[in-house]
Amino acid sequence: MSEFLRKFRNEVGLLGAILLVLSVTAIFSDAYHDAFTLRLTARAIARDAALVGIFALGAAVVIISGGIDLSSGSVIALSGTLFFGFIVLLAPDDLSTRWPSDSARHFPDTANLAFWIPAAAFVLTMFAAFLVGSFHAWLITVLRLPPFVATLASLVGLRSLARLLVQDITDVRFGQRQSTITIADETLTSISQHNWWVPCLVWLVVGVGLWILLSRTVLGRHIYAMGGNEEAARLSGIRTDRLKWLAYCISSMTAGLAGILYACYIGTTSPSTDGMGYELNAIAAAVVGGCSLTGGVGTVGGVVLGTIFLRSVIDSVAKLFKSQPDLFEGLVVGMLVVFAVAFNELRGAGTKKAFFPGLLGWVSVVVVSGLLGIIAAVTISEDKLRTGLMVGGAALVMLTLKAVLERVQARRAAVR
Amino acid sequence: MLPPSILPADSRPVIAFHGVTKKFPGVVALSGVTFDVRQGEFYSICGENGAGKSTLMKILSGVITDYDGSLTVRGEEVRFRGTRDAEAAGISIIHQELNLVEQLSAAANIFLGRELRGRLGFRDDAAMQREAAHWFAQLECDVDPRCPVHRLRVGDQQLVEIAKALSLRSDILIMDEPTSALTESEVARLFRVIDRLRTAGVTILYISHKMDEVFRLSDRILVLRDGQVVNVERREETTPSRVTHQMVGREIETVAREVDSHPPGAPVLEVRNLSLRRRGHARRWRLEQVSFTLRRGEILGIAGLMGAGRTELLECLFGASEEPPAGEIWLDGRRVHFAHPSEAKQAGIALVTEDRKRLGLFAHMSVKENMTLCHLPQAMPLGFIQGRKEQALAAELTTQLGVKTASTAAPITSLSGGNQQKCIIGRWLLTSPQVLLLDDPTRGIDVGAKAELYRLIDDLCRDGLAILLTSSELPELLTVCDRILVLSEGRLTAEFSRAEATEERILEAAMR
Repeated sequence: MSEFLRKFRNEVGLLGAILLVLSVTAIFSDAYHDAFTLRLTARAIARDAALVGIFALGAAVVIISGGIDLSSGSVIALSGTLFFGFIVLLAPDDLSTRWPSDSARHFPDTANLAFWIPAAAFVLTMFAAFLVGSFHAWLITVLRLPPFVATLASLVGLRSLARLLVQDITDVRFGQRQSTITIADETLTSISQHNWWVPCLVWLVVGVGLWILLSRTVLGRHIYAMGGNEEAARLSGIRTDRLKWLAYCISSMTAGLAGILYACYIGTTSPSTDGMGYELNAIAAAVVGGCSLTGGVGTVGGVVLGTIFLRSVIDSVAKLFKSQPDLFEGLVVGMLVVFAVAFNELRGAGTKKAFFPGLLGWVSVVVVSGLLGIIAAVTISEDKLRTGLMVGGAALVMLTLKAVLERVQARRAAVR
Repeated sequence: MLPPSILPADSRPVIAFHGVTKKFPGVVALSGVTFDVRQGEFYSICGENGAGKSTLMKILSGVITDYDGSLTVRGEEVRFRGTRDAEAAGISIIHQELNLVEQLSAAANIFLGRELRGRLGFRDDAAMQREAAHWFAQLECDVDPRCPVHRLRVGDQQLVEIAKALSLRSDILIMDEPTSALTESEVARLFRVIDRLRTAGVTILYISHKMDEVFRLSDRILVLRDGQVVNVERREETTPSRVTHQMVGREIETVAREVDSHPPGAPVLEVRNLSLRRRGHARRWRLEQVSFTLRRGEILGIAGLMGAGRTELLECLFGASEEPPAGEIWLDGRRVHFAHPSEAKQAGIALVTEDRKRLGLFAHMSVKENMTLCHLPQAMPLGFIQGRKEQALAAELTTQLGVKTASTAAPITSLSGGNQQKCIIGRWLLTSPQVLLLDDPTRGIDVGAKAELYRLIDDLCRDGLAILLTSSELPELLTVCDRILVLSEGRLTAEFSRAEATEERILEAAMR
């Protein structure tokens, strides 16, 4: 049992944290008090977590292999665009809306799609995602670009490419340039909108697949080895270039999968905003889930729990403070990343750790208490100024006390 | 001949440890250590890895501040609160791993953190370079102060550290295994430098487990074992074997290899005119026209100074060189070209790398995972890892090689250097190679574990493995190898049989 706890310390900790967050929300918010809203909330969390979780797993594979993939947000935008774009291009003309005076104008019938059309679009889109991953692998292993630079170029470039493609596809098919594509097919858009379980199922399949890959196969072992010590892995006869190819393809293809699901969820693909900043959410989920950005460390279970933890905290904040979740999302994710990583780093440090040493310590006392005050002010709905000042002031007093105590302790230790 | 000790008899202690004890969780690193060092003395501290040498020096240099007992420097009791306190007291330490910023110049490293300033408070590079050049001249070496440190050879980098210590006006210098990365000629130069420093009145604490160095200049020799002082003796009154004996606490079995007890078998590896180009360098070849034959059941040693091309040669044979070498490599009568280590592995060649931490170990992984890594693709044909099979492989190997570990699931980093090295050799033995390439396999490993590794290497060659071994220590090559090749600047300059080889002849060929 203790062996189990030691091995899965991270996962058990996250599970506890999730339960804590959910029960706090259940106690203080009425959203969980009747069965109907509870069900809705559970589904919403599950769907949101699944949509992020799918490509967070891909991002985690790259992180474990010792790299980084910053492009997932743009791959999401590109794959949503390609998926809907292929559908529009493949869909037959809608006879009922044919332009009477101008026979050159056809409108695709996207309301009653034959099964083969989305299926073909899906295969083509996933193939495109595979090509994106391969392109990354080429940039990194052959041209020797640092992964950060290679995928940063994609992050900027692919979104722009997607926007240009939408313009051209709509021009070809609708006769006028637009910046979005909307699909009217009920079955397709009901995926992940009404059928919340579809993303969850995809997440489950991807998760189980990657869990088997990482923890049960030789390839997975090699990915961990490469992430831990790339040169030693190469000198052990491991084809590190091929492994990187695999890792970056897994990352871009999971992002592609997520992009398709997002597009179906919204019903419209709009590459200028789709998946904006999601790459950082994925990396945050992986880091909160216990992956180390230096590579070689992390588990599928940890990443899944990390994702659920992030989503449930975001949901909990929205419920407790009755505000729009997306306003708070960045703040919550940022704080949790700091807490989770600091928690892991400090676990071994014990109680003697000085948090506010030197001049930077004093400045940090002001920064942290200021932050706490501002956060308190923006979360409370009434009397913002006074609350903020009170919370910030209280924090300032306490942290100053802590900083002074640390200095006293340090001096005493030095004298002894 | 050894120079006589020049220590004046009446000089007073400059450093005195009294009853110093340091406990780490679960380990007593030092217990009641008491000794004193006199002004201008060359004081050697010997002990196996883990004997407490480094802990002692960390206390003296202010890295460890939390200990029991007292430390007196120049008659005053001190308790350093950090390395700056120790520096202020004139104590400098030259670490085993050099603490230099590789991208900065030699002069910038010497003045790091206390840069000289000119008018308006701007950095005065010219002044720092002048002063650095002055210190290098003092050390009788011609290091360019403007040269970035990463372009200097390791021996010169060490001189940068020494120049830094001198520029701090330190009169107490701690050297922690300073020669571990040096070639023989660089060691000789270092000792000339040390000799000069000593005549200038600098006190030197010298940590090493290499007896020949310790016995070159020491006034007194202190032996530490398990955190306790075993003995302090004047150099004239003791002998290397006596000190070694005290360090280990037992007789070290010298590996008595019976010469010709196993006549070598058929040739396995033949190398013909192997050359490796060097891009953008005055010396055009890393390796030039190297030819030799390695037979089954033979241990072939490769001697050479640092930069002679030992590691490059092994990398070429393993398909790990940066660009493909010219020339021919024949394995078992077939000509081979390896574009990647995986192909060499497939063909039955194994390489145990020189820098264990950087190129060999997977620090995040367990003993078991480190051992089975190379063999997994063959052992698990479907690509799925069968836990029980892996466990069995690792367990068998640990017993066979005598790896001391709590369990095969323990982290590899919990093992001692010698046991880690056994794991890495084991990793390759699982692939059942025909040729084993060992690149300086005993570097950073203590005396007792070395003897065990020699025995292991000997057993392997008796089993018919062909072994190519490099070492930076000549005595090691002389004890272990059947034949010794000497490389000098990428060329093969000599070949000696076991009977012909002596340290002098090898060194002469290595500098040819």
